[in-house]
Amino acid sequence: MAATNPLEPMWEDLRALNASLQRTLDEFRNSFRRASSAGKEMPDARVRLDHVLKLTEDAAHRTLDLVERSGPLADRLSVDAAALIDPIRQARAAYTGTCVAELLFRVEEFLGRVQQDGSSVRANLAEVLMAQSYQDLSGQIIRTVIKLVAELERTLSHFSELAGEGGAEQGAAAVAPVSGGNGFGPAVPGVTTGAVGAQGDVDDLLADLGM
Amino acid sequence: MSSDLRFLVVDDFSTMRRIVKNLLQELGYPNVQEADDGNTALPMLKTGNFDFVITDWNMPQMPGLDLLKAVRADAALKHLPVLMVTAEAKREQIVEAAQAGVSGYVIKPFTAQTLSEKLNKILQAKTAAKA
Repeated sequence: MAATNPLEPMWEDLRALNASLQRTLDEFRNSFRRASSAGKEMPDARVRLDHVLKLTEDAAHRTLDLVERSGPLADRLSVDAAALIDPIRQARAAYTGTCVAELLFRVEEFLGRVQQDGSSVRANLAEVLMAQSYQDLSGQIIRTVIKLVAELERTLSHFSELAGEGGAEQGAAAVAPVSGGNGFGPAVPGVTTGAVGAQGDVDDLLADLGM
Repeated sequence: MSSDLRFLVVDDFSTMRRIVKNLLQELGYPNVQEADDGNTALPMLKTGNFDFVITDWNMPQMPGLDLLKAVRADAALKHLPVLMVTAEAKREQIVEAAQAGVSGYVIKPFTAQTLSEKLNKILQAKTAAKA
């Protein structure tokens, strides 16, 4: 007669628990491996972002080159046209009643438009110049992301060591705190807290401080 | 009207230095030099006989706030006007800059008019103080 071991149900539970623990550990290792393989993509991500920085910088400088070259041209058109208006008007007086007077009148009108349009082009170029500040602002945000990617990379590489050694020394990867002294970079809507909204708010705040 | 005031523009982004330099030239200040960081700016200020500093905050080596503090701590430079032109827009930062002795604070993105207004305000205050 085979006596039933009274401890058998408990052994059964322990075996199940052990199998479950083993599965969990395996899953854990696999997750680490996946994370470490994602970590291998990180240097690529940084290079790509660096490249975006370079592209926008080159594009902004190219635009600024053209703005700097075009501004004086617009100025010259405007100034030279303006200088001709009076002489043409005087010449027209000498030809009153002839077809030359009609032609000179049209030239005079044209010179007036060149003068005005030259000034408008100059003003537009000044706006194009200011618009290039996007490169600084987007560049600062991209640099922040590059730093985060580098930190993530370090953390994942630490994870991957843990997975490889099967539970070596614990402890979170040291992540350098973001220094407020170096600045936080441009305010990103929905991310940054405690930022002022516009120049008017800065002026109000400084006025409150007695400046 | 052209002024012979000497400006130093400090920003780690070359595009922004170029934009500010262009704006200053438009405003009649052709005498503009550039530095890409507080560390390079400070020696230039000590030897360059500058009249005005326009600086960014967020720079890799020596940030603009440290440059401002260094200028205010230097007997020969402490009266130099320092205009901060930066994307740093947190209230506590603006207060910190004010406490460190900043002459004006412009947040990026800014307009040519804003820069011109702040510049004139600082220069007028300087002239009034001299008179």
